[in-house]
Amino acid sequence: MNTYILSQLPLLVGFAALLILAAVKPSRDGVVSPVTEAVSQLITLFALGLSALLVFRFLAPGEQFFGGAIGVTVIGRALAGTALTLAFLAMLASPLYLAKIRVRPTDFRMVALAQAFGLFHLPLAGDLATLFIAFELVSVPSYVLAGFNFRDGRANEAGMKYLLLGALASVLFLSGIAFLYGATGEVSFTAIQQKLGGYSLVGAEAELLLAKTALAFFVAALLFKAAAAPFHLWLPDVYQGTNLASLSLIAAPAKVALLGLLALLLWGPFAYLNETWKPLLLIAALLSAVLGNFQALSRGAQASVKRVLAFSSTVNAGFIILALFLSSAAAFLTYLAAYGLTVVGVVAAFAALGSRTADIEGPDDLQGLGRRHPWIAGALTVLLFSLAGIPLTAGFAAKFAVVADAFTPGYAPHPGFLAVLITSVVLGLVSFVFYFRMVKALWLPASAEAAAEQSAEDERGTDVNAAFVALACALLVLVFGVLMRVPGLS
Amino acid sequence: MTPALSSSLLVLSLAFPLLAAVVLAARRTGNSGSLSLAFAWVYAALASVTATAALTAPQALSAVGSTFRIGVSRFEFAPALTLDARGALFLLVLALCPPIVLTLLRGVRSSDAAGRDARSQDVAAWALIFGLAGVFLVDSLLLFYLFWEAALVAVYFWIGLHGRRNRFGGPVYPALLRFVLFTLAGSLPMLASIAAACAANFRDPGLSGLPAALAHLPESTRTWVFFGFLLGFAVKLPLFGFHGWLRDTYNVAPPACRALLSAAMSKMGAFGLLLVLAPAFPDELARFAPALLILAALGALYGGLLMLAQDRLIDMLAYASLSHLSILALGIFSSAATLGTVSSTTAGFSGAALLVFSHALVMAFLFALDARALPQTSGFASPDRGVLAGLRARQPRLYAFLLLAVFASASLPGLNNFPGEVLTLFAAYTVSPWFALVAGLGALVGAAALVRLLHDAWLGKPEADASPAVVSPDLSRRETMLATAVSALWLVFGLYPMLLLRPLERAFALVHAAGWLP
Repeated sequence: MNTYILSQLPLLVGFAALLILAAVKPSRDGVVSPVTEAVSQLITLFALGLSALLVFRFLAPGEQFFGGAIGVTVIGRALAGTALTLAFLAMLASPLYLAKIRVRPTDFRMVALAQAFGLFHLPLAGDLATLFIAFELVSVPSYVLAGFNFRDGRANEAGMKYLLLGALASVLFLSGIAFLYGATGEVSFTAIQQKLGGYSLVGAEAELLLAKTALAFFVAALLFKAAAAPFHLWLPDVYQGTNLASLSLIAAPAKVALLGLLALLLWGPFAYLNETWKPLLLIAALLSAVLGNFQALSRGAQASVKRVLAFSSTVNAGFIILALFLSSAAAFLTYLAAYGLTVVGVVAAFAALGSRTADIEGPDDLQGLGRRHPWIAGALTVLLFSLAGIPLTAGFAAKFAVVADAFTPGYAPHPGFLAVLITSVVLGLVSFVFYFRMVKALWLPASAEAAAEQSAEDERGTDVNAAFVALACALLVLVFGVLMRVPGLS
Repeated sequence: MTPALSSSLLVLSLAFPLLAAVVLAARRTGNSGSLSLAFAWVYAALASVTATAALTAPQALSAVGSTFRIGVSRFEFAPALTLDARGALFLLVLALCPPIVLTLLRGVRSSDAAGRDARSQDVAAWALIFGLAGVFLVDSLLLFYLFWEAALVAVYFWIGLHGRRNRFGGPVYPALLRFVLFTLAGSLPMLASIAAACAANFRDPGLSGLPAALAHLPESTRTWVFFGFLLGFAVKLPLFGFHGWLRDTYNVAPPACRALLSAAMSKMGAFGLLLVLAPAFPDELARFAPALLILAALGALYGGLLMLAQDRLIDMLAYASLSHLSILALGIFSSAATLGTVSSTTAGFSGAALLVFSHALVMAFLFALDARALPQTSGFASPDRGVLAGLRARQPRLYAFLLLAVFASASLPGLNNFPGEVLTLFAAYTVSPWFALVAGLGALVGAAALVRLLHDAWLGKPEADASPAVVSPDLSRRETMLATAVSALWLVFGLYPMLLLRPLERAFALVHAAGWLP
């Protein structure tokens, strides 16, 4: 039995079933019958959940399929499984929110499954062709998701912006593939790695120059997609414009897969060029920590929790890049999983806390919600603490793992690495300002005028789905924080 | 004492504050003052017994849990508690300060003018005490950091929920945020250092195993690790240059919080310097001692000078705190500087440990009296010169104890601050007379400022319009009894410091024996 086909089968079947469902029972103005809604929801969750389960259960590291087009690695499997699990959680949180913003739920889920199909393939790609197809399979549904709520002008802007800049990243990515093929004449990752190793051994300068050019293209494309500084300025607009259901799919599973791709490429085909990529990435990490943190303090960013989340994603991307310098993959994977889980939870909590007509916009909208929704607000507090890296949360465990790994005796860090790492840790201080501002709004007494503005009539019934996911994520974040690791990934 | 008994005492001393916080949080009724006070007395008894046991025991008490493998790299970690004579003084601080503060400020708390839930104040107080107890008792580095941040989170919510605008109308949150950021600016580098120490041999070495664990690290890494720890402790104490959070935080904090901040929480920094840095980084401390000594001496002088410029009792106390804690740090750094030389002495360590205890006992009392003097309807007012004179006639007992406490704070011989201060200045003198001179000058100027305040209070004429319309009642009989008992303690430890000094000397000699003599 081909375990690769088996593992993705749920996604394909689910997609086809949703397609038929959408054709047979079209929605009217974003409203579908409860039965259709329940069926489409079940299909989506079943497909995502089963696929994630199969990835962890059946795909064995070292396996190759279709002549190496698909190659399972430890990291790849962990990334695919994590991304699918995060997508599952994101879809679990979304049903009532989708009904609130009145988008076509079945169509939305179809796009989400298409993206999940890409998420499955991206980390498992074994050659350049599969890689590019998977890259586009993640990207294109993401553009659609960003602009899914077409009634909202800002969503259109977000979708368009994402599409244009994403297309640029795709071009860079494709150029990288072209140059790499030109340098080596190979498409398979293992073959490329061997060839590049041979080149650096004999000092084949011309080929190495081509390969280094390819590397530069790849790094630029991936930093663009992962929104690491200095390629991060498009992200806040996209985050702010898009709806929360799409946001959690773009911000957690897709981000995990794209950042994970950095490890797969740099530790894989480009392993012998590490003297070239390390300085590049060190600069990116430093810039991410500095720019991400300080730009999040700007007035514009502070007016929107989504923008804050975007800059926080840049900061975390910087930290994840630093994990690429370590000798083991465990810290890297733990960081990605912890970050993804936290983001899904935060977005779910925002979705659960929104009013009947509007979403949470700025931190002021969180004012006093600690009293009205103590559980959701408590979960959000835990998750924000995790983003900030307060002890007993997964975020702390992840940061601790990276720092501790860097100090392991016998590990010789790249020059400047420790300085950048410590800078990132200390700049985490700045991020406390904006995380704590949300905590403050949730719990601490509001000023008189802000309290007067709150009206009960706009109150929305509890969004049980989003609230459940937020609580579950907070609980997991605490469990992983106590264990100080993510079971299954290290 | 059997190991089983001593370890259960340690666990109880740690768990009791958490239990108290949970019980108080679970109660439905709004006012929880009397229950909280009862808890405070029980804890006072419990922690005093534990501390006494540690002071009298020949070796450190300890309780060690089973070993786990945690973290991504699966390093060994065993939750462990430990307490020796050095730590015992810190635990005594925790035992004695809450009853003083809660007894004197009970009325203050229950009449929260804004009608806010007074219960959350009590919960926050016990959460803070829990965090502090953890810092003072645990041996594992990870738990140490955890409790360190837990104390910060408790204070964040305490001040955030119950703080008031300061007297210039400055809002609470910016001051609070500044406090949090200052603390984190110190504790995040400390976290990096802890991670490095844990990674050094794939296990959490604990505070007691830190010296051995760091021996493996290369010289340059050790220096970085040292600075990480130092920064955390310097901000908390605060050392001169790291004190930017001090006055504003005290100003916006609720009275009880302010008293515990100064009396107990600042001791986290002292604990770090004495029990973490001094044993684990003797070489680094000796190397950087000149710079650190200059900071400490400057802090003492600067605090004293600023006291001269303050009008209100609370601001004066805030800077008195800075001045005294700088002298405390001076003692630690001077002893560290003498390491390996012929004039090697642990007097500075012992003096600093004595100051930890006596400073806390005096400051908790002073801050509580300061808040107690004016009724809560006037915000968190603190008496200034004019008001002090007006209040004197109506609160004679409160004023008598205020006088005594100010004398104690000014290190009058015979009262409890004196032995510690003399020992630290003596240790500083062995390094260089200049440090002793500058710091002594600071202490002198501070004392002068306090005496000037008292002069206004006792001999000054009340300003006609400065006297507030509503005045707090004088100390009740219960409060007077407590105040008398506290003053008696000052006298006892002022006249017979050997009670604490002897076990302290022994403990320091034990810890610093290795590598102490050249």
